[in-house]
Amino acid sequence: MRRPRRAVRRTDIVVEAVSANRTAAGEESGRTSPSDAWSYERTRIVPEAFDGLDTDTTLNILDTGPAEPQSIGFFRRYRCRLYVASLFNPAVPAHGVESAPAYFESMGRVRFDVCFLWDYINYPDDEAFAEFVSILADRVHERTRLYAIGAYAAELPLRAYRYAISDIDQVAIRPGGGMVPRPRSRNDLETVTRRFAVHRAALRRDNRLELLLRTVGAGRS
Amino acid sequence: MLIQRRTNPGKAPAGAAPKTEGEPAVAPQGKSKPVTTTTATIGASLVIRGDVIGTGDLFVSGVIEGTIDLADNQITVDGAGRVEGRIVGKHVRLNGKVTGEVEALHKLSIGSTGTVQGTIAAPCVEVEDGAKLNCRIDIDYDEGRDAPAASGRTKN
Repeated sequence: MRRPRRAVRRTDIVVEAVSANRTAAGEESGRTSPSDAWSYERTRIVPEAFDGLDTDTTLNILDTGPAEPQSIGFFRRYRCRLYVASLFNPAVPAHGVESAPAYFESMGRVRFDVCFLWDYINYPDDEAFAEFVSILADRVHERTRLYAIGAYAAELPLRAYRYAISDIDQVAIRPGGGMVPRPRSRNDLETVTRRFAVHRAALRRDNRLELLLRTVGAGRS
Repeated sequence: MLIQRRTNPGKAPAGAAPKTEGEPAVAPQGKSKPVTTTTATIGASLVIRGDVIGTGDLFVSGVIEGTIDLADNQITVDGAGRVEGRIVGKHVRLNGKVTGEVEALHKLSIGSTGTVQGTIAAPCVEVEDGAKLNCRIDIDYDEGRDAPAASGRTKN
């Protein structure tokens, strides 16, 4: 059953100061207590992640985050293999992020067409993130698109949300509890991810920045 | 010995998986001989290394290292259950941990305590909050719904 779309108000694209206080480090990593209902945001970035892909072939799609039924339902529209990497684990001390290599080593030599990184980029420390990017760089091709949610301003806090894709131009979002440990801005991201470049960005509420990345060398459409 | 063989029409032990609604507990076979569908339970302290095949539903609270091939039946892996290997079932419910391949011919339900590492293939996948998936899902393409056209949209 399709949920009604929420109209996008102009206030959705205004940077809002977030007043929530940072909590203890363990809680900041918190993806552990999802609550509240989903809300829906229109997006122009996600459609571009699929723009120009050959949907007659089987797509390899990476989803870093808890598997969400809405996302799985959405991906049924495509011939695809969905690689779900639940890299968040509150039992892991380093901000609840598991080692990415262990996951990627188990999947063989797949090359992804689309990667939904969601807000994962804001969780690992610099070393772990660089390692993640390095691993990912070996598993993309020149037309791979990556969708991520960073921070407009790294010095401002960023709330933890859970995300899912509910329609080609609609992202489902709900509070994940706590704050993300290290918001990464577009500049932070481009500094680390030299193999990828931000192709498109859109400002969202709560200091969030939607990002579409492409492998370096891919032309702009 | 912790394998219990029970008959569905009777009273199921506490913790047993409920039958799917609408699924007859007693399946008719032929014209007059009803055959009782049974559920076998692998108890929590039991470890099986080998393949499980045949007919009848299976409820796993223990450990199975091998293949479970019950293509016409329901397989439930309890919260304490663990399977390393391959699962083939009609309706597969996972609340425990599975490492390997899971193929549900009808539906796969992953509960909030379920963990899957490996590959999943099912026409219908239900995932509850809290389930932990590190796996590849071979999506059953819904041919009734074409992929949405992304090209031609207004750029930012």
